[in-house]
Amino acid sequence: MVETAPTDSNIEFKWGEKRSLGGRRRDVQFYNSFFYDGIWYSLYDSVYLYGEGENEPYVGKVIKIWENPDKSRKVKILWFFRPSELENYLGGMTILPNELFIAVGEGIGLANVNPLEAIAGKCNIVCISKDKRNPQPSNEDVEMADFVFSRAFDVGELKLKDTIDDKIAGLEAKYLFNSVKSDVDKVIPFDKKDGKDPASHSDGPIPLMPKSAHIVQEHVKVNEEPVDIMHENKGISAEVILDGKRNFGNEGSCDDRRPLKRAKFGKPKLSKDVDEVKTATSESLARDKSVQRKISNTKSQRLPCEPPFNNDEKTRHDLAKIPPRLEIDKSKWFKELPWEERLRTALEQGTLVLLQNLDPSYTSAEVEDIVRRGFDEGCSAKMIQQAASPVPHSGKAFVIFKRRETAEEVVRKLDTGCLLLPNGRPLISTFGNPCFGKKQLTFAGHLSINDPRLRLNHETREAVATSHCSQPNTLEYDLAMEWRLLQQRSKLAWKMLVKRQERELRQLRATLNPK
Amino acid sequence: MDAGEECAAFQEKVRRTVCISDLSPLVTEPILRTALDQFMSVKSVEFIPNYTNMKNMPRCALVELEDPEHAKLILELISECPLMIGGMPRPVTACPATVGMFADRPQKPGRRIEIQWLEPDDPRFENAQKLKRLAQKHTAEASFLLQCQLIEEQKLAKQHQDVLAANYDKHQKIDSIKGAARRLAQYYDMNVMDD
Repeated sequence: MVETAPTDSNIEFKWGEKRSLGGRRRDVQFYNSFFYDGIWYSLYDSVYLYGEGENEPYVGKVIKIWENPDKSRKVKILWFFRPSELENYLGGMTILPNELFIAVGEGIGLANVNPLEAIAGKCNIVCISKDKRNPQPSNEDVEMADFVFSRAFDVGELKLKDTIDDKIAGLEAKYLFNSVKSDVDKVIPFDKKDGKDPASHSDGPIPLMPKSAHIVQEHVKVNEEPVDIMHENKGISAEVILDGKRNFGNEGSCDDRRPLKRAKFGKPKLSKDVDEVKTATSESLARDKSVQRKISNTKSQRLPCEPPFNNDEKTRHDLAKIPPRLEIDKSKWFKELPWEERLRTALEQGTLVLLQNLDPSYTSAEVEDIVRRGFDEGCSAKMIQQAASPVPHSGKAFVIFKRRETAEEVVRKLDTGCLLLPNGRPLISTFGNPCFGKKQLTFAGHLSINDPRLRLNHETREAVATSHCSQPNTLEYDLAMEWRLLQQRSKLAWKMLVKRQERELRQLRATLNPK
Repeated sequence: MDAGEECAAFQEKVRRTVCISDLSPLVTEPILRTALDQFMSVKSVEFIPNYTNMKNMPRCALVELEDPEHAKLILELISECPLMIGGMPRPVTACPATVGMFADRPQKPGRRIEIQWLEPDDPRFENAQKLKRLAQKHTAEASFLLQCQLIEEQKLAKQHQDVLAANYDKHQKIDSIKGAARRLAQYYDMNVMDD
């Protein structure tokens, strides 16, 4: 019997098998499984959890599932640590690239309760411990795994342990090891869910069923349905994008109706950044709190539909051909560095191009669009703000490309070829050469008296720090008038220049569109 | 807010903003704010970054006021009497803000920018290349004019600085010989110290 719980935000949700009632007033309903956003999750599944502002999703094991009387849905998560979170405790230990450490002991960071909606997807974790209790995984299992673990981190003693105790967070160790058949997560595709498939979940209520029996039953059912097993692997590969070593080979075959999920998984990987990882170390043990806080926003974060990847991509090669627009979007998933910082880096790397002869009213987004359509390249652009004495008919923009070669190619193409914008504006480009001037300490036209005796003169200091409208009976007024004269002359000079330039442009443009 | 409204709101913002230029690089937002707050209440201040590699470039800032009318008043005031901010005697100048001065402007709704690559055998190609060269020439001209302007400014500043230094020197010297001068005046029975 499948109960449909009230769903919000249009994410599909169903409860699976019920377990016992709990809580002080027996008003908390525990469950064995649930269906959320296209995937069935069961007790003891490994899952990704999303924290806002985190580069990498957290990884944990679901050890309890329940619904509170107020209909809020909760899961209790036993955490896995990433090596980056334990940097200070690892010493010189060799760590496999995809190794995790399971949390054991007593203390903060072992396990905590999160809203069920914080779960972002399933994760395939294989235990490679040589422990007798652990059914040894096949090489294939290990190959397929997103992560492996064999060691534990004691959150109480803050020590790494090579063995796993019999009980962790009140959970028998056998649930942590690989289960007898395989620990591969079961993903039920959409097209199955209304049909015969959820047999496993429509067996009727099996309250108070012992844990172990349940697990065995799960796996028996998996075997009963070979179709599912096939889907299993595919489903997992969809989630494996997270793991950089894997390629996208199976991508195309996985359920196309869940692009949202894939886009989501792509997200954390991209921004693995040394600094962030370091800060994560200190945060990791205080995670209980932070996860709670972050997770409250998780859902809204997941909902906005990131543009899905092309569904027909079959190979990594194809993947590279995603329209550049997508690349831009991806880059916006992360907090952008301040523009000036990016300019500096781009300048150093030679990826900065200065586009000229743009219409000054173009926006940065429009410039990006022009580059995308003109060169089929993604970039980030920014119009240069015109200062007060500008040539009003020409706008400039800085454009940062991904690679130096692209930038060189664009400059070369625009030099030899000709990209015509509306109003007879051929685009011009040069390598950008912005100057981040050192802070000037003097300013032409602001006078100062170089006399050490005057340093402490109160009046002088005040005059510099404040502003005033000069009165005609002062000396400075006369000087100011001389400045005004110069300013007017410059203004006139600019005006004449602009007028002449516009005339020249008009004449030449007229020849461009002979009517 | 849809694109049209956003655009209208932005236009409104442009109208109530003035661009203050000829600012010293030492002027910071609070200084500018207090300088103008005495006339009109200032809503926001944004300095326009300058990436040209010219020395001694004055800075520009966009000052957003409460109302387009206020912006007009400020413009009038600054053009009438020389307002000096953070130093003397170079006064600041002000002009109405234009769309191009803003960093984040909304896209004009419904505008589609048509672009096309001209093939070398296109009859327009030659002229387009000419236009390109013309635009490059114009950029060079503008940059030259800017340089000239800066040199002129430097000259004027130097001239003022020299005059000031000379005057200061003169007064210092007069001060230092005050005693001797008085005695000489007494001796010749002249009145030089009339103050």
